[in-house]
Amino acid sequence: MRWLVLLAVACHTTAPPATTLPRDGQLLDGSAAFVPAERYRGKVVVLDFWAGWCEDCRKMVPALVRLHDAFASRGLLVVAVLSSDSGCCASRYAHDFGITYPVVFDPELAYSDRVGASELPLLLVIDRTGTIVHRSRHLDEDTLAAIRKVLE
Amino acid sequence: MESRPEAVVVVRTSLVTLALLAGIASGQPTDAEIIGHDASWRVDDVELRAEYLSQRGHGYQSQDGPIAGPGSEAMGVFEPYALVTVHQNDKITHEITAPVDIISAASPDAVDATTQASRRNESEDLEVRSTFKLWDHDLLTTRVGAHHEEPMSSGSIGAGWRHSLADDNATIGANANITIDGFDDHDHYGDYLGKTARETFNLNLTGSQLLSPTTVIDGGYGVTFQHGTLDTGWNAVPVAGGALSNEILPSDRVRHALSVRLAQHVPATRSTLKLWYRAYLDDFGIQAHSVELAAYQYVVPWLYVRGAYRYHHQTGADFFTTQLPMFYDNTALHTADSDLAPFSANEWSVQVAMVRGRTPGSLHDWSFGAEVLRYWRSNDLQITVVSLTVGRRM
Repeated sequence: MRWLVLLAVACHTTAPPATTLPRDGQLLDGSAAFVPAERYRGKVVVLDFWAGWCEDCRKMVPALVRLHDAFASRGLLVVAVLSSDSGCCASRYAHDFGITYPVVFDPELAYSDRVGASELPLLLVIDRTGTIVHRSRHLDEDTLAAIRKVLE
Repeated sequence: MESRPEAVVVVRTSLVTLALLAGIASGQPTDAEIIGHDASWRVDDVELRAEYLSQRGHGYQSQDGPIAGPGSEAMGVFEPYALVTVHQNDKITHEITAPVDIISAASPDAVDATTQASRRNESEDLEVRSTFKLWDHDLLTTRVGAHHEEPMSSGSIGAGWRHSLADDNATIGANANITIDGFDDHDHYGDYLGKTARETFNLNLTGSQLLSPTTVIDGGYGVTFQHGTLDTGWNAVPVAGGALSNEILPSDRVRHALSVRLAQHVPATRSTLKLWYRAYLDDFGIQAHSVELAAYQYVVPWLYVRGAYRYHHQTGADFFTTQLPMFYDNTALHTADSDLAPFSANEWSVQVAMVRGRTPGSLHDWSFGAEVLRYWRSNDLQITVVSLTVGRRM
């Protein structure tokens, strides 16, 4: 679905998205500690850009929990990236919405900008080399196929 | 020796059974079990916009002026506009657009003798654009539209396809559209001449390529073929001595347009620059070149300002004139339409917009925008447009 973002760049306001996981992101965990993007290198990662106010994001949480439960043993790491300028809500949202995978937050949305997450929700599938191999606004069959492929 | 067909069936059935048993034994959930049931039809998004357009200027086709001189082209348009995005399922969405134009023209063209057209007119449009995600890299779009105003009704259909390449770093696409207009034919005295029609066929080819993580280029070529009554009927052409003639245009027109756009994002300043160029050519003899520079600047993550300037220059149609000689051939092509004249045009616009999904607090699901546009050209036409937009994600 990257072409959608390309069109958004051409026709609207967003920047061309990064094709690999940016190394210099300022993601923070629930205690406001810096989470280096390098931490995710060497793993198959699904980054879920979301926010508590985003209904579509909230609707997707149960499916992401099932995804995490199904593939964690095969090396998949699901990470929720909370679009927020405050870390206060990360742990609270995780509790309220039953999120069982890690939650980090993206102060000032700088990381979201880098990867072209101009609309929420957005799922990025990242392979072990840090390459973004798939992006989607839904957890659908195509996204699952991309995950299965990189887990092989 | 050939195997018996029954044996092949047995072997295949056994393999399928084994595969199913293996899947069950592994405990791996299916895609459907992970994804869950996707709620079917729902309204995703509603956007409302109100736009006011004010036009001032003069053209020789208008009869609202001195004999043999240019007449007024003054006009006001108020356009409320609604865009509703409907989600059918994961693969299919529909965008329903319903603009309503209310036009107030101070130009009492001859046609107003028999209709209200161009003095005060309401027009209604309805367009449904559906998007089908066929496969991971292919998207099909269809479009059905209808338009109605007092002297004219039209319908249009179209279809498009886009394909992503090179790990989604490039796209190619094509779309085709057909529009049929049916309208009342009037002469430049306002006399009704009966029903008439014109057909428009349009084909566009597009492509985009990511050049770097912050640079993208895209372009396209479009060809349009029109057939039928291409003149507006009530447009007049001044004749030496104070008389008026009607406009005579060809019954066919072929138009070509080629465009390219380069977008560069500057992450350090949260800015994006876009440079656009378009070349145009048609068999009326018009050649045009347009260039636009647009700059986007994010003030905060949820608010940006866009400024743009566009310059356009065109040659006139081969048969454009501001005055026919006293003795002229009324079977030969001629027009005084200021849109077909040679001219240069300038346009600037400023837009402020809040990005939905990034707006703070209770405004998270809302988007707001305001734009002012000013257009003026060398043959006496000025347009000012003010638009306000409000949207809400449902």
